Amino acid sequence: MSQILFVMSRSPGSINAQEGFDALLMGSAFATCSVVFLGTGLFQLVDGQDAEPLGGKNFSHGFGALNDYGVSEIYCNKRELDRADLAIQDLSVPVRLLDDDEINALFNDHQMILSF
Amino acid sequence: MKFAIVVYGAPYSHQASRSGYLFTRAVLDMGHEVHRVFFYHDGVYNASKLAAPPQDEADIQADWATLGSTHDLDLVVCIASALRRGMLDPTEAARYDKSADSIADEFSISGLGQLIDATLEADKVVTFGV
Amino acid sequence: MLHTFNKPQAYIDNQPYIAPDDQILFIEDGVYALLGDEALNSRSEVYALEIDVKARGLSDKIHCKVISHQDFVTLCVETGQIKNWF
Repeated sequence: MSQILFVMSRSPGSINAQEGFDALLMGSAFATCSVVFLGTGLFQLVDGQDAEPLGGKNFSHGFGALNDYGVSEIYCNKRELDRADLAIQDLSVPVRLLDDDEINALFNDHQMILSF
Repeated sequence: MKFAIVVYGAPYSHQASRSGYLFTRAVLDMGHEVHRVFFYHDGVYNASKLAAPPQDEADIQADWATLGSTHDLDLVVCIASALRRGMLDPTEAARYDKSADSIADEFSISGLGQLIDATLEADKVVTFGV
Repeated sequence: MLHTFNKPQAYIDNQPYIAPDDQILFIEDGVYALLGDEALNSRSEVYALEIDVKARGLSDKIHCKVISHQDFVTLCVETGQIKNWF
């Protein structure tokens, strides 16, 4: 059983999203971690973001390095992706698409959940 | 059972802090252990020693501090979240040459590793977000 | 597993991720999600925090089980996974 599931539900403009990413990186140093992007958290994965003119940090550019941190399981929900009219090609990293029941199973397949 | 409680809300702008406080008290009342309370995002503001709310209003920062000292709780404020929000202990205030420190003695400032440690050590993790 | 919701929108958005036999606890503004939803109120594993229901003047309007913070702790102890939605 993987140890920690990180659930990211905030849009990329929130400092909570960036701080959630920091927590994921820290978690990956100590445990087997997976990450799922739900709700407006899905938009953290959109490719080609540029938040710097807004004074933001393009922390999502760091998602490409998640594999190097041992976070190879990146998930989002197919229904939410379709509803946002996004496709896999629009995302900045490879993800596994899960249906609603599989998301519930994901919660139960981890020892602990940290939500951001 | 061992609980880790995570608080993301600032004292007055959201109920998360009050909910986390009441839950923490209930955990203790029922004889369970509070491994750590970790304050992240705007939750770091709960550690302020500079708040001066009106006398006829609840003082949630003082409530957390009293709970922490009464039960010898590990109340931890994330250093990265704290620094960007102006929450500093004396060491950090000196390091960054700031005119004051703001964190109450009942809280300690530490890294995200303490959140991960709490998550791995506790039997249950409960998060009070906004 | 146990799901907690602290606002109605968190429940609306994430309802698809609740399995039929999961437990649901509404806290803070999440108790408003119970208004006018008799099916939700009648579902067997649905709870609301009494202190939040009373604070909002909804004791007559909410019919699911209302519980204390100590009961909330017991729910956490007895359940498997916990997901806090906000």
